[in-house]
Amino acid sequence: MQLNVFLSWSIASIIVMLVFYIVYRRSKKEPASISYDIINNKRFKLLYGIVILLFIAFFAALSYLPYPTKEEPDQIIGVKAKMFLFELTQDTLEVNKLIEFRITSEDVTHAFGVYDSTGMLLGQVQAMPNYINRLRMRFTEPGNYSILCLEYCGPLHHQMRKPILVR
Amino acid sequence: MTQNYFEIQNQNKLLRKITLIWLALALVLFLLPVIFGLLMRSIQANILPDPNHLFYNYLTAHGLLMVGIWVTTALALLSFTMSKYVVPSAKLIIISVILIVVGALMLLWAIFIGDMAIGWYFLYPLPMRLGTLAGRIVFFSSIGVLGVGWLLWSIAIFLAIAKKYTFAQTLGWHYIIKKEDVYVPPMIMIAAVSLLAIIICLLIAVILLLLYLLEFLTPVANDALLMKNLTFVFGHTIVNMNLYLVIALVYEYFPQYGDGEFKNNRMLALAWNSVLLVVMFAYFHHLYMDFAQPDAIQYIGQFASYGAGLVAAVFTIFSVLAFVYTHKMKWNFSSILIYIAVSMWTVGGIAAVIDATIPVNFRMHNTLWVPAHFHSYYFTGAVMMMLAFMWAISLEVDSAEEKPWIKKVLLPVMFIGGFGVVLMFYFGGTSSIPRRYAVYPPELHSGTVYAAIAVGFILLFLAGYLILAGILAKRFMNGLRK
Repeated sequence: MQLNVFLSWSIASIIVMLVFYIVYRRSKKEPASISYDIINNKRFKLLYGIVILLFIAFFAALSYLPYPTKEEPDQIIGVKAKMFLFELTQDTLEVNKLIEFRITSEDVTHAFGVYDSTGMLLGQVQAMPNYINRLRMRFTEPGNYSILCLEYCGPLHHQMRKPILVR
Repeated sequence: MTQNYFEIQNQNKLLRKITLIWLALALVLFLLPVIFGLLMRSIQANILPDPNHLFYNYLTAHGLLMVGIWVTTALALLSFTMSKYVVPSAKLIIISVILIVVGALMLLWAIFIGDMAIGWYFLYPLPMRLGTLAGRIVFFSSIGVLGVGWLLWSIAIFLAIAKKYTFAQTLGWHYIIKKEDVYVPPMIMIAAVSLLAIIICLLIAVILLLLYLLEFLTPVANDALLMKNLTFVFGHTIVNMNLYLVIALVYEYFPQYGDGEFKNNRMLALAWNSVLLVVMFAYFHHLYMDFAQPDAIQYIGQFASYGAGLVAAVFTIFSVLAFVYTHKMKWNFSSILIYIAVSMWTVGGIAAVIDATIPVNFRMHNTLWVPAHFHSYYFTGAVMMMLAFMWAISLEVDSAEEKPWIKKVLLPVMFIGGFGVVLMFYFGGTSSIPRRYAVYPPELHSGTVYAAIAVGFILLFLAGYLILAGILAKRFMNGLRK
């Protein structure tokens, strides 16, 4: 997903920069005489275009929410985060099963970030004192994964990690 | 063309003096957080050692000083520029500046002597765990002092506006109900919307500080989720409004380079009033990964974040492009820098809207994608715009002329440096590199490489900035003597 996000942003940004550049070049010539009504007409076209795009994005996003659904998980793992380690009730997980991590913190706010063996982030959730956040994941590939803390939690924040095995 | 196109009809000498003093001071103060940023990227790149483990102190000081310096500079530029319509009280502003400088010094003391390395948004309950007791007391007092300084300044601006316009006129409500009796410049209306939101979030900060105080004094512990909501409604909104204050100034400065103006009308008034509604709910996107937060709140967050982006795109960005397309522009350092900064604001806004989409946030939140988008619209956007306004003012106060090399050499050096800095953050975010890591683990080695390249770009920016700041500071000093 990260690459797709980067590509979407890059394409949109290049288009934006091109538009700015073309308009800049145009400003060096005689100014275009366009009435205020025509400009506003174009503004509304842009408004409708972006509104439609954002509505599609909004409803598409609702289909891929990371929040827990009513489906029963296959495996439940308790996670306690504290400065500067994660304690898991089990650190070996089953492949292709719906895993539910029940995450809390004993001290400050941490975050539970799941990384695959290539160093890509698969998903995350915050670990907050007195709250249990339920993160559901299905690992489709067996292998070594890592949990990294993704919320700044103190001087050894960058060392707060835990390996997990999926088989 | 090297002449100045912006005329400031400022009659208030005291206001002019305090503005120039602050602007000169801001140019020097800005070097501090830039150097902290340089140190952070150098440590991450393994170029510099960090024997005293100060990385997170630099991180905290970098963020808080940046916000402190540029919110204040936006207020200074606004009160100076708006004085052609209404003049804010220079005495109130002087008190504000004194409070802000004292607050900033206290903040630095708390971070480096009191060891309050707690990040710019000091997420509860971290401040209760880190630093010394004195550090905690001074840290929260400094936030209080800064808050009072900004509140006083905002009140000074509102009092000035109230002398000429009613509250309803200031917010452009007479345009909305189609009763165009008084012309209100867009700068005044947008600034009023932004300041209103700033006052609301400063009042929320008071609640936040009182809750911290309660926990200091009693055994009662606060609710972490509530504290996080309060922290972000304050922290997110004040930074967002800092940006909108700058946009208010774009409406005033930019059209002067095409001998025109951005006119206020019903549509603009509707847009900016809706911003006021939407923007107070946009901060929810900081809490998407708090699954304990009700789902409905998360959807509102996504909706509000999209809405804020929409208004920016359709009104400000489109208006800037349409204006350039239909006017004979006079391109000097200021106008080009504003124009480029608006494009970077757009680029960062696109990345922000993408990140405000919940499933994307699940993979990008707290990675370098976040500093990537906010450095795009804050550093290469708002800060560059403020430097452009400073340039326009400096030409005016020192009756100076612009040398051609300024826009031909200095501008590209600063812009390429700035763009390179943010691009390395984008690459880092795409590679899942976490933000706020002093040392990257071996499997995230690419983070080290991006940091090393970023160091080069920071140095490039810094080289350009030092020259610019030198010229600006000299002109402001000359202006003070006149």
